[in-house]
Amino acid sequence: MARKPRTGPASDPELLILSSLASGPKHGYAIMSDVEIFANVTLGPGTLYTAITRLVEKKLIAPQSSAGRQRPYKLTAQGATGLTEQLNAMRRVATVGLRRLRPA
Amino acid sequence: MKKWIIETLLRLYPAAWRREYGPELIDVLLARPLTAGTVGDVFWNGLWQRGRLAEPSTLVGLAMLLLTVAGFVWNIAAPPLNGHDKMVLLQNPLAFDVYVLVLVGCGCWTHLRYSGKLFQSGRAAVKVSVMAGIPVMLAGLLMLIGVLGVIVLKPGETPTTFREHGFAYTYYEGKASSCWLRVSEPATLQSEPLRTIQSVTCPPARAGILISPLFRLPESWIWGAVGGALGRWIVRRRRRPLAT
Repeated sequence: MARKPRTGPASDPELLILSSLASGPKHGYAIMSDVEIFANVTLGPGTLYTAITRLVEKKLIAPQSSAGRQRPYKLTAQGATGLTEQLNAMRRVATVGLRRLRPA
Repeated sequence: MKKWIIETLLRLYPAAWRREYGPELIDVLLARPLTAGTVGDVFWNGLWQRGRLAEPSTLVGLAMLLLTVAGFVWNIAAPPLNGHDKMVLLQNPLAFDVYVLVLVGCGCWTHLRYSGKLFQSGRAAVKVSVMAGIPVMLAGLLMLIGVLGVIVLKPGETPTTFREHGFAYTYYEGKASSCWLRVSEPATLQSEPLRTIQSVTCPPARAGILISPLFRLPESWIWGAVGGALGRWIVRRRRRPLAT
């Protein structure tokens, strides 16, 4: 049974796909499985390919040629920079938020 | 069965998208259990992809078409009381401000997306007008051939229910003042031509309803072009460098 994705920026399909591809090229099914493992979020196949389409259009990821029907996607230099910026911004917010939550 | 469902779902996606990502999506779907959630996800994203790649005029036109159809169905199924009827088959186009805003918005959106010339925005608005006019023309045609009846009520009269009147459109005489295309019934024209021109009996002639959307096209083009000019202005403002 599909788990309901958590809300918030950490469940953004584009961010999850970019994070998954940070460890190397993967095809669609491998991205889905990887995201399930590291983020505990199940991306629907439609959602996954809609996000992949957007990322390819933004040139943040690129399909690689493949003999089979499943093409692997890899993170582009632009995608790596964008992902780093996003994660750093999230880390800053998370650090501040957690510090403020800590009892004085 | 599963493959048939998947292939059917894939048809929701635009052809260009299917060529690019279709085989991959099929493989992913075949490798996983096809739950209701998965079907819903693929269905919704298919519609989204189609909407994203569709022209603004197609989307706006489709929305207007559905709105017009809904208005007709509502009128036939549950005729509104006088004064609550927001939909008039023949009306002064300039009197319906929201419709004009929709046309301007469509022209603006078209320019922002394609950065084309003003006539392209005008053409987009005409397309919206044509799509919105299809149900009106169809209703006129059905009235002409006698399939759809017309019930004319005087102000204050209670409309009949669907069970009582069947497949008929309810029209209030008071709406005559907002009639744009002043075409009356042929019989009235012959007997009292002058009175017809002066007071205009309602409902309007069925032929008038049939052709009325065509009279809105030039005006639609102008409003679309106005929207295009607005889009051009927005683009120029965005490009203007910030004053230091």
